[in-house]
Order: sequence, then structure tokens, then C-alpha cells
Amino acid sequence: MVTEAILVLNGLTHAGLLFVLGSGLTLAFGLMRVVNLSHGAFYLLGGYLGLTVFRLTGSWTLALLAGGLGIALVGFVLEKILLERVRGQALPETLLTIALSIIIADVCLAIWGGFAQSIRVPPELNPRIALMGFVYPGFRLFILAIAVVIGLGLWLLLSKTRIGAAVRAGVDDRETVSALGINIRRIFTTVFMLSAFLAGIAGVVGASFLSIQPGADMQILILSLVVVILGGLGSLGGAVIAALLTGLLLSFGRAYFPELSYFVIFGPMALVLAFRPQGLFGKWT
Amino acid sequence: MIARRERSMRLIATILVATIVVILVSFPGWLPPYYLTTATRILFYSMLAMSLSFLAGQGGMVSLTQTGLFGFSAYVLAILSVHQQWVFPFPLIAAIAGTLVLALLFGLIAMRTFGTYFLILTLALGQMVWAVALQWTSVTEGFDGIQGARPPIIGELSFRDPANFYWALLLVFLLCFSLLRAVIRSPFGLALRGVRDSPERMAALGFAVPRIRLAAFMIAAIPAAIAGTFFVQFTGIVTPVTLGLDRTVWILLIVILGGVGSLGGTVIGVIVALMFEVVVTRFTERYLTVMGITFLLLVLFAPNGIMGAVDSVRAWYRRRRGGVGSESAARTLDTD
Repeated sequence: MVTEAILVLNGLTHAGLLFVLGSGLTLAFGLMRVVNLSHGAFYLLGGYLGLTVFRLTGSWTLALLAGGLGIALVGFVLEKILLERVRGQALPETLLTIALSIIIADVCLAIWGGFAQSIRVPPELNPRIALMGFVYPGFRLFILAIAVVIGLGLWLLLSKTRIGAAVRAGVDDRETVSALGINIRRIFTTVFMLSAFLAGIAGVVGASFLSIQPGADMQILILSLVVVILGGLGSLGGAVIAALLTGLLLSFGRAYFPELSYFVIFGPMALVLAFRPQGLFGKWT
Repeated sequence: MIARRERSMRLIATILVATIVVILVSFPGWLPPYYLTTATRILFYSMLAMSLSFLAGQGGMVSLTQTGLFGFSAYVLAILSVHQQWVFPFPLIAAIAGTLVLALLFGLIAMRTFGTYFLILTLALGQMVWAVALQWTSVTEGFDGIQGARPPIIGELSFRDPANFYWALLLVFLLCFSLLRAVIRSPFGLALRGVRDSPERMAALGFAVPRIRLAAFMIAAIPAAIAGTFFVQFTGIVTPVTLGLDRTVWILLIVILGGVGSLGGTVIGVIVALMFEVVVTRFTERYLTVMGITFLLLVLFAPNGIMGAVDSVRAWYRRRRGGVGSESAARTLDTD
């Protein structure tokens, strides 16, 4: 019983991380019809930026901000100088993001080396919580809280603000939105930066409770892709459900089939896609 | 008159193909060992690239899972022959059959998706094979990979001899090349291109769109599966790198270089990409960065590959001379 409870908690933590990653990816897709395949590389770079800032300043909060804002800036530059050139052509744009992903990962390897590294979480963020006779690291619950706050923030942003309304309108009909005088290009850039910001944040969080090393970008990208494919591309609610499902499967898979945990999460994805190719909450594009 | 001209054109083409085949067959007789090794690598990577080029160019399916199938085939052969000590030809048969079964599964999952959605779904499926190869250490030996798969010796005939290995590979390569060419020119190939251009219209005409796409996916899996078995017996090792994303992008680069959908172009693409690799690794450790930047520039400025770039320069020249617009049939990259 206790083991299961802890596995559920671990699964929720993973789900939190996956939601932060998947929500950004799925939002950007819903609006731009392009999947940013450098999302995993953004995560990796964000984690490394956070690591360096943490080693220099010793502040975890600063590391989190550096990871998030640094990657938002990277996203802004890449979107302006590269991705805008091929906007509207789904395949070239996707291929460009693959190329970027390889370049970023290789540059990270050159700067930060090939060993696994992690950010040591300060004790005040990681209180030891007694739980049914076990001591549970409080930082994991903190991650869950971050994910919930981000989820609520995104929901409020999308449903209660003018920008959110423009984004939702853009998802449904881009041409009409720009005909109404809304600067759709600025909205694209904003959403892409927001998505990159979330990937950077996730990188710092991931570097704190897991570790980062070359290859982590791909592992995270696969998991994020599973979340958005399963939930349905463009659906925030779908990302919540899919992140929960994937996180729990990952946690139980790691405990019971340690060598095949990645394989385990693909089962339900294949099953769902067999019946609903557009994902749980997806609309056809 | 026209018939005669056509007949002589066909004769010239036949002579040309026969000459190329004779030259290819004669390679082991006069090529130095290093270049024979390179020729062997060109052949199995061309088979892998052909697989993707066919799917993307003819079927509009930019599949990022072909490298996964290639690597899966290599892993099955290595596991069965090195760990399980199976004797030839059983590991080979199991590798190819197993890969086709995996392709069928992947195909069934992916067939109802199109365009970018198809791309990321096949990416996820291909990377799943990578993740399993990396994680399932008790079977795959994880990061180190499996070493020791060697070509068979059948009676007096040893395929450990580089020349014999090359000839066997060349034979299989020519068979796969002809198979794909025949498929492209068949009524099925026409239907496949119809599905690529307008799946809705083809469905309305009564074609079973998912079945046509699945059949194309299975056909494309054949060269990838076979290439994987040659790869692992030639290099003697298969690691997760064999089916990682870097390799997938490398193959995409080759296919775009050679012109998406052109079978002969993939061979040219492989030759250019291998030469590029040799030159770049001599100057820098950051080969992947250089490859990524090259890929980026290619997608931005020459999405139709080398021949496509030549075509557009020619069309531009013709326009400047005031001729009629070129009928250049360059295939565009955007398939959805």
C-alpha cells in the first residue's frame, strides 16, 4: 500500500513536469500548426543555464528564472530569424526545428560536457515530509504545485484575457483573425516564446529532481510528444489528462518493469490512436 | 520516326544502365580496400535512404521511423547470432521478418494520420525503439551495444571476404532498387501518388486509402530491414546511436540532397553526405553542429536537393532569355 502511494506521488511529480513541457508544445501547435521538435533541446539548454546560474549564485529561484527567460529569449531569436521565413509551410518548419534540436544538443555537449549533472535543491524547498511512516522529499510536491499554478495560469490567460481570446480565435481561423486587424505574427511570437519559457522552466525543474546529460533532450521530447499526441494536439485539457496518465505509467513502469518503462507508456498511446487518431481531445486540423 | 527515336533512346538507356552495373560489379577487382569499404557503406545507406525517399516522395509520408526499423533489424540479427548463437540463415530471416512485423504494427498505428501529425507520430515510434535499445540493458547491452555479428561462411563461400560481401550487397541493392522502381511505375504507384496529392478525392473514387498507404509503408520497410542486416554484419556492432535521431536526420538530409522521391538521387545524396562527413570530421569535433547547420540551409534554400537546385538555376536562366516558363517537375517538400 505504502509503496503504491509513493509510486502514485512520484507519478504525479512526473506528470507535473510532463504537463509543463506538453502544455507549451500543444499550445504552439494549436496556433501555428507546427510541432516544435527542438522542445527537448530547449529543455536541455534551460536545465544547463539553470545549473550554471545556480553554481554561480547559489539561488534556485534565480536559476529557474534564468532557465525560463534565457530559453524564451533563444526562442524569440530563432523564431524571428529562422522560423518566420517558412511560416505556413508545415514540413520545412518542422524540419528546421529538428535541425535546431541537433545543433543545440551538440553545442550543449561542447559547453557542459557529457556527464550527468544535477542541481542540488536547497533544503528550504525540499522539506522532509513524513508520510505513513516514510520520509518523502517535499520538493516533489513543490513541482506538482508549480505545475498546477502554471496550468491555472495558462487557463486564465487563454480564457480570460484579450491575448488569450486572440490566441483561441487564431487556433480556429488564422486568416479571419488577421483580417480583423489583430497582429497574428506578434501572437505567434508571443506563444512561441511562452512555450519556450515553459520548456526552460521544465529544464531547471528536471535538472533538480532528475539529472541532465546528453540524450536527456530526446528522452524528454519523446515523453512530451506522447503527452501531446495522446491528449490531442492543441488541447490544454488533453495535455493535463495525458500528462497524468503518462506520469503514472512511467512511475509504475519504472518500479515494476525497470528496463521497459518507456515501452510501457507507448502501449496506451497506440491503443488510443487505434480508435481516435486525433488523440483524446484533439480536433482534426 | 518518333517510334524509332524512342527505340534508340531506350537502347541508349539500356546500354548506360548495363555499363553502370558492370562498373559496379567490377569494383572489387580494382578499387583499393578503403574505397571498397566506402562503396559498401554507400550501398547499405542508400537502401535505407531509398526507403524514406520512396515513402516521402511517392506517398507523401515523411516517416522518421525508417532508421528505427533499420536499427531494429540490426539488433535482432545481433542478439540472435551473438547472444543466442543461432546459425545462419535463421538470424537473418528472423531479423527481416521481425522488422516487417514491427513495420506492420507501426503502419497500422500511423496510417490514419497525415502530414506533420504522421511525421511526429513516426518520430515517436522510431524513438521508442531507440529508448528500448538504450534501456533494456539485459538484452541490448544498453549504451555499449552488441558487438560481434559477422557475415556467414556458407561451405566454401565466405562472405567475410570484402569482395564477396560487396557483391551480395550489390545484388540485393539492385533487386530493391528495381522493386521500388517497378512499384513506382505500376498502377499501384499511380494510386499512391493520387493518395499523396489528394487522399479525400481518392477515397471518394473508391480507393482504400489507408490500405494503399499501409502497403507502401510495408514495401518501404523491405530495403530498410535488409540494409540493417548488412550494416550490422559489416560493422560488427550495433548501438543505440545506430537508430538515434542524429542518424534519422542524416538520412533526411541525404534524401533532400538527392531530391525527395528520386531513387538514383539517394545514392548521390549518400556519396555527398559521406564525403562531407570525412572532410568535416577532419577539421572539427562539432560534426553534428555542422551537419545541423547544413541541413538548415538546405531546407531554407534548396528544398528540392542538388538536382532541384540545378533545375531552378536552369529555369531562371531560361526565363532570363525570355523563354516560356520552365516545366521543371521539381517535387516540393511540403507534402501536406
